[in-house]
Amino acid sequence: MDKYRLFDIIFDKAFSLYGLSVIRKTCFIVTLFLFSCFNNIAQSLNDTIHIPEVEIVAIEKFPVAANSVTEIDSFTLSQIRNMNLAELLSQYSTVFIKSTGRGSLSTASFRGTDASHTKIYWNGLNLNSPMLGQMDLSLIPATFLDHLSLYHGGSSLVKASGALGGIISIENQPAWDRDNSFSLSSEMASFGTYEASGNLYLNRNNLISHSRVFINHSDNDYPFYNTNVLPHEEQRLKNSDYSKYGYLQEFYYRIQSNDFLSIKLWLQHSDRNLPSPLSRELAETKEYQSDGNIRSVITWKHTGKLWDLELSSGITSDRINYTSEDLQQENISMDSRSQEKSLFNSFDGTLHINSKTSARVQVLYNYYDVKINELIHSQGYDAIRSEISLMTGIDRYFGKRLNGWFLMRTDRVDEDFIPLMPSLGFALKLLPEKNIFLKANLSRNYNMPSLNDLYWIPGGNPNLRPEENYTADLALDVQSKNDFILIHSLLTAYVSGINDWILWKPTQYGYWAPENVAQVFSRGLEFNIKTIKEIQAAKMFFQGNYNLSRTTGDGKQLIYIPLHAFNMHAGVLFKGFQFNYSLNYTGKRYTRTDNEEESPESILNPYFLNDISASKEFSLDKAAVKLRFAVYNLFNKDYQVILSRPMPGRNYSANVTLSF
Amino acid sequence: MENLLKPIFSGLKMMLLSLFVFISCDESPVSTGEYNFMDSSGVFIVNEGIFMQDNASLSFLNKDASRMYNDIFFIANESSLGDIACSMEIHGNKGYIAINNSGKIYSIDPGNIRFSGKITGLTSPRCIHIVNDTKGYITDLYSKKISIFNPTANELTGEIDVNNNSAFGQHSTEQMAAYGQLVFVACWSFDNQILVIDTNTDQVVDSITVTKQPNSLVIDKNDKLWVLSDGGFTGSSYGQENAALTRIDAKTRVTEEVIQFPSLDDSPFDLTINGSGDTLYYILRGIHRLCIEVAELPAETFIEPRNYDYYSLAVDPENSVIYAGDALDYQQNGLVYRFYPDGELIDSFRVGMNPGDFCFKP
Repeated sequence: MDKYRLFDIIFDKAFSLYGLSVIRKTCFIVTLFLFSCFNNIAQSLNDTIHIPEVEIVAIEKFPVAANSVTEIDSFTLSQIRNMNLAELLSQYSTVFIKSTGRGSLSTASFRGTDASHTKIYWNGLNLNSPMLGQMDLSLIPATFLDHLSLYHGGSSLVKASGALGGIISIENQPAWDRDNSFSLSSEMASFGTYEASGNLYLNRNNLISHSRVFINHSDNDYPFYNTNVLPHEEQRLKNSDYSKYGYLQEFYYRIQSNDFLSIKLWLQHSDRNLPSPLSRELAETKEYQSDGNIRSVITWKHTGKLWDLELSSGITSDRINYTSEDLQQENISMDSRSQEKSLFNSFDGTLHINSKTSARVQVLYNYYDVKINELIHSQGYDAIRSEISLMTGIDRYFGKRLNGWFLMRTDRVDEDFIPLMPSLGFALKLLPEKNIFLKANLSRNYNMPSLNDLYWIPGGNPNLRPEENYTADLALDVQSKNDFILIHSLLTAYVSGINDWILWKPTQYGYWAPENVAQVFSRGLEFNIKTIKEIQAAKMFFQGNYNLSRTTGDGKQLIYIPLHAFNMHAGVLFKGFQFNYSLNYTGKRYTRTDNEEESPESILNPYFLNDISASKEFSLDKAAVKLRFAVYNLFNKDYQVILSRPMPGRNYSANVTLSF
Repeated sequence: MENLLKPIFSGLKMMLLSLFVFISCDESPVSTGEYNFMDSSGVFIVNEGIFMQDNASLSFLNKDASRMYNDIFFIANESSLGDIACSMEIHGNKGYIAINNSGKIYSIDPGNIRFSGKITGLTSPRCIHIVNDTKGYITDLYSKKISIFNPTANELTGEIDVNNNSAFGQHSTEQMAAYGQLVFVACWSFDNQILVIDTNTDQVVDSITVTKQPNSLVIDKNDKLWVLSDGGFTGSSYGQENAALTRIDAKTRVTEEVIQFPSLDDSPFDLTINGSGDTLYYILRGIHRLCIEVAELPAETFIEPRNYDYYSLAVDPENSVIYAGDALDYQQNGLVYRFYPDGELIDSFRVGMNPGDFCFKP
């Protein structure tokens, strides 16, 4: 049965349970912005009527893992092809992104935590650098993702340990009913930016090959007013150009209707020039970094009446070279080469004990081999680490409205056992006939120190303990559909404490060293809402995210974490013409740990960013052409995410996409 | 259609109202002002700020009034001082500030703190030594040379090449001490030399080997050069030895005494001398003091640390009051303490982030 027909049946059933008064109430909430936009135009060439994919929870049964997981849906993803993962998350999720500039190092902060507390998973492989503990999200192009889920807080334990803030899981998936297709996209944007991507999808009965490629280059020399030199002057950002290239190849083989094999390979390279502090004048000190990544995974999936199994094995090889050079003197002051090789193996099994109960088990074995050498001073280190992780859990329905689950994870890293990490939760359907769920979760988690924390010369501290975290979540998940509108909203309140948070501090020896010193208490709210509305031939869409994040150490808000942040997007689609508007707000941030406000530059001001875009799709003979034009930072707002790193003012992009 | 319009408008109204909650943003505090420290005797404190954030700052303590003024460069000039302000020297009626990661020297008027010029194009300037009205030296961490500049004209006039093509990026140059026509330069990072420069010819005329990583040096009243070395660090490719305090005769350049620190864990820094040139001070888990006539390390700590340890140290040449900077957690405004010559606390003041150097203004 066409899956879309199934949705219709569910909608009808849900709707018939609502009275008119409910419709009026939902109208009020929903008329905030009655726009929506969909983007399945390329597939509208056949006769199936497509409606946008929405998260639907069936009335009789609800998802087994009643976790705090939010998903970025596929039509949002297809719309923002030209973005990187950092831009995507900062605009479409509650994850806060700390960015040092356009196309530059960007890391995630989930619920006020550190970049190392957010783990990025690609098809089951952890992409965080074992040396640094974190990942630069600006290096992941949105066009390489098919599916994006965010596991908030303790919900992340179902996948792995250590993600005290959460897990960002990016996945590539096959679409067995999708025809062969090919698309080419080309974009020109401000500041000498050029991007091109290609996508080839071949589907032959039981074998799919999906190839994607992208190149992205930018001079990135945006103008800004430099107040860190005397006299103040209009300048263009220097030494911030970058080039990135990537190739993603997937093969999917359907052995039987319930047995699948897949192989995925991702190659990527980027060269980036890193800008100097704004106050640096004349001396051409050039810092540049090149990143090279090879990632590959092979997976076997089996679904059955009794067992669902997944067996996966993957490798990653990452290289980062960093050089700091004085061009005038032709003198290199720093030349650092690092290499990280990782091996990942996992086994995931779900046993369906009966219609109400299932058990799950996961075994992971990972091995890391890293080395770094700084050539000018002949300094560096070599290290290896091995990790074994075992998770067992159980899900059970109690009656028709309550689902509870419990899991326990245990890790052994090298010779040490990490304390047990339990996670307990439930989802309760509050009213029998409405899709309103109350979800709760309680968990404990540990994050291992990174290899740099342990072994860096000088300063590495092999006696560091893992960081410890306790989190409690309570969420209200409301899905409402009636004749007028469809809304899905999720409100989560959380409380989280982290002990033994690792911080690097200067020592008496003149170098810095890490210690388990900090205690951080984080509490806040995450709110997400999505609505969809069709009016005759027009489709309208609105989604928004709001984040309240009070994260303190010694009673003071952590630096660079805003108390309030929100983003919202609205769009309308009408006869192939599409218009989108986005609004992004980031609240005040402190740059000093004492939250002092009087010194100049001790706070970063709050700011609004407005983006708009318009696009038009034309059908040619056997192809579709889509033209898109966008304006970012519409009101030319002057803002900084990190102190002393200017961000671009108003800028533009124009994009042409051809699909066959 | 009318059914739709009403809820649409009321919804828009709600949304706009809720936006106003967020629109009341704070702008930065307006900071401009004028200073007149011309007749005030005091001490400048150079605050490094945080690396790569361009938030170095300058503070001034008016000694007589016991009043600390912070962010004075920003307030007088409406501009950030730069990234990692490292040291300051006053010569004549000008103050020179080495701003390490901005690759430049700023000159200011010590009376009204107004910016009066800059020398740009440097790699990683550390310390400044003014030889005379037309010559000064600027040491550098990475460029393997010492820049020569004209302090009156604010111009670079030459350089002294100190590249020895070693595997450790030598020489990095740091603190300087003057003796007659000579200047002694400590080469700290991955290094163990004291270079001797003739200021008439701007040439390196000699080089003295000391314990690894000499970070500070002073000359006492008997024309002895004292050098404090931290010995390197564990795991360094350059090796490690015990820290030491070395005494060298400045005239003959003969090493007379090497006083070793007992443990490899000892990493002392910031060797300072008082105005009369007879008492040495340094930081090692607190402040220590020893008389130049004594050839052994003090048995007890002179002033105990209050947080992790002191970050910087200076002694007032006029009255031997001890100034110590404390960086707290290195990510917030620091503190400066004043102690009487006997070690008793006088008072303390909040200053900028990571107070690293002091410069006395007579």
